Amino acid sequence: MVSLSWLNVDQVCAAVDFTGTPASLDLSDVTFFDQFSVIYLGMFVRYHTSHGTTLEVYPPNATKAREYLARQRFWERFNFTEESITREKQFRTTTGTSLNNIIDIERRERVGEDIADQVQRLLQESQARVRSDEVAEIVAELVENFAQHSKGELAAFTMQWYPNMKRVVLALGDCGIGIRTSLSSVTRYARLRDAPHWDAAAKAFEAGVTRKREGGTGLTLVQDSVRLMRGSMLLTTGDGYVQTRANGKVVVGQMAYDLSGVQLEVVIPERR
Amino acid sequence: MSRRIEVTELAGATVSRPRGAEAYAKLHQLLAQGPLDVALDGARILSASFLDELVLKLQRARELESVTFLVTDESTTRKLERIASIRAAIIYVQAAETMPRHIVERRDVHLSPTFSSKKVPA
Repeated sequence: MVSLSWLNVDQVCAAVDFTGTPASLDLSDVTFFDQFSVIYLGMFVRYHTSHGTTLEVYPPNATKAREYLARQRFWERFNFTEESITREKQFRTTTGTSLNNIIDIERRERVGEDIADQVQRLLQESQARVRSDEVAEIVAELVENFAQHSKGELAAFTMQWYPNMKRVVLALGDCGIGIRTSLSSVTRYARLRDAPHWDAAAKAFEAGVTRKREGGTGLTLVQDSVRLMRGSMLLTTGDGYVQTRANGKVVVGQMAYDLSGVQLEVVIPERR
Repeated sequence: MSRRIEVTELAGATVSRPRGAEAYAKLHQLLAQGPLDVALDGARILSASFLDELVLKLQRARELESVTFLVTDESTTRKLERIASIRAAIIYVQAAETMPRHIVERRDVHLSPTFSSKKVPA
C-alpha cells in the first residue's frame, strides 16, 4: 500500500530500470495519487515517450487507484506526442470538486484567464471556503508562466478541492528545459549552469530574476500570495526543489530523480 | 480634477504581462489629456504580472505621478505594496473618492532558503 505524493514519487521514477527493454514503471502497490504525483508521473512518462523510450507500466492493483488513472485517461494523455493531441481532448468537463481532472496548457492567447475562469467558477459553485478570486489569480499567473516557458512539450494543470482535508490543491507541470537551463542561457545567470538545480530554482523566486529583459516577478508574487493565505508551495525542477511551507519557512533540497522541466504544487487551506 | 477609468476598459483581460503592456499603451494616450484615476476593484481576475507590467511601464515613462489607483480590495493593495517594493516605485492609491490619495507603503519580504537533506510535508 503506497500513497504517492512529492515525498516518494521521485523514488518511484528513480527505481525505473532504463537498461531493460522495455523500461518498466511499477505502480502496482500504489493506492492513492495526490495531485502533484499524478502531474510528476505524467511528465515522467511524457518526457521518456517523447524521447523514444518505451515504458512498460504495471498499473495499480488497487481498483480505485487504477480507475482514477483511467478516468483521467492518464496513459492516453501523457503517452503521446504533442501533435497528436486533439483540441476536444484538452478540455474536460468539471465535477463538484475537481476540474476532472487534467487540463493541458496550450500556448495560446488567454489560456491563463480561461483556466482561471474555470477554477473560479468551480470554487464559487462549491462550498470551498477559499477566496476564489485570489486562487484564480494564482492559477492565471502560473498557467501563463507555464504556457510561456514550457518550450516544445505541453504543460498540464490540475485542481482538486478536498472537502475532508479542507484544502484546495493546484498542480502544474511540464517536461521542458527546466529552470537551470533556462536561466543559465543568459549571460547574467551563466554561473547557474554548473550549480545544483535547487540553487537555480531558489534564484527563480527572487524578484526581477528572468531570462527575459523584463518581468521576473510572477513566481515571487505567487509565493507571496500563497504565504499570505497560509498555504504552501512546492516547485521541483531537475533534481532540485524549493518548498515554501505554511509557516513561511523556505527550504531547498534534492529529489531522488532528475526530471526535466518544472513541476509545481500549491496547497491552499480553507478559512476557518 | 482627475478623470476616472475602469482598469477593465484598458485591456481585453487583466491577466498577464502582455495585457499589462496593452493597458499601458491605452493609458499613455489618455494621460496626454491629464491625470487619471484607474479603478482596480472591478476586475474579476487581476494578476500580479499585469499590475507589475502596468506600473513598470508607467514608472519608465515617469507617468506614475499622474495616476491614482482606486482600490479597496486588500489583496490588490498588498500586490501594489510588493510591486512598489520590488520596483522601488512611488505608487499612488486612494480607497474612496472622499479620501486623499496617498503613496502606497512598500512591503519588503526577505525569504532566505535553507537547505534540508530530508523532505518533509509542508
